[in-house]
Amino acid sequence: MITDKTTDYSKGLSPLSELTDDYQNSKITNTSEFSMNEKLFLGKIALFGEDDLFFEKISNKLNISLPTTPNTTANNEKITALWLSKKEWLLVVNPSIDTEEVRSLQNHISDIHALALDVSDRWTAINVSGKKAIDVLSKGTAIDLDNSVFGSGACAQTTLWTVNVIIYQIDEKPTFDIFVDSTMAKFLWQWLEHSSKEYVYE
Amino acid sequence: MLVPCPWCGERDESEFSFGGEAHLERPEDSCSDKEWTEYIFMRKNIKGEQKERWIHINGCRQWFNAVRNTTTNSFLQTSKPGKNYTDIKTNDN
Repeated sequence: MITDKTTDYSKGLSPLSELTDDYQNSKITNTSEFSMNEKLFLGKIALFGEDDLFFEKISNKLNISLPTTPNTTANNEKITALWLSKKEWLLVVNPSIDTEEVRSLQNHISDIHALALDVSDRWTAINVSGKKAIDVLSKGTAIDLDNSVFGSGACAQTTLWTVNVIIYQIDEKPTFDIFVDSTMAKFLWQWLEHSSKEYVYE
Repeated sequence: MLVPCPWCGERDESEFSFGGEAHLERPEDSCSDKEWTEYIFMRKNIKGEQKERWIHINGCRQWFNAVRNTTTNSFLQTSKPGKNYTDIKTNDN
């Protein structure tokens, strides 16, 4: 649904463009309590593999050690690697990644049992922050997001109000990135907006 | 209820799916129809502590084995596939 609003779509239309515009223009009283926005067009790579050579090759190519402890992350200046399972990671590349770079990574691991897939468009990221961020998220997930349990650098695949998400905590303000399927993003955004009303609106 | 995933730790039960009785052994191809029927359909359905398969479907998507008390619906132990349980007596062994 594209309306006549003066939105800059020169970079393309993101899954949440329409909703984020309305949200930013609406009456928000205190953004230090809770704020959210969509992180546009981050590059994302699904990475699968398990043998020693795989870890070595990835480390050489990307200059990052993939985390092997469940629900942890590793990062360098450009890439964040999120542990998804014992043989699966999500690489989030900021600001984005082009097809050639992914192809180059695929070629680099093509001789071993491993896979790198460009999934940039499968997920979108909702950035959630503020003093009440944990209170809002806790309305939809049973995971204990308190800093003493979850904390900066932790990630978890779970459901947030029935939507499958990956929650990644960036810092202890706290700030979270919530990766959600592009097709479900609108549903989750609306839930977040509704759940945060008590902290955001007058 | 919280289920202890061997990888992710304790998570809400809504993230998991039940996979039936664990450690069923597939019979040889030359088995009788009766043996095959036993393998496909018949389950012990124990009242008490039972070994089961579970999958963390909305999390790390890994299968694991669990000992669950079917009366109290509590998990006594979970283990990664291929790993042995620590010494525990269940009603099916």
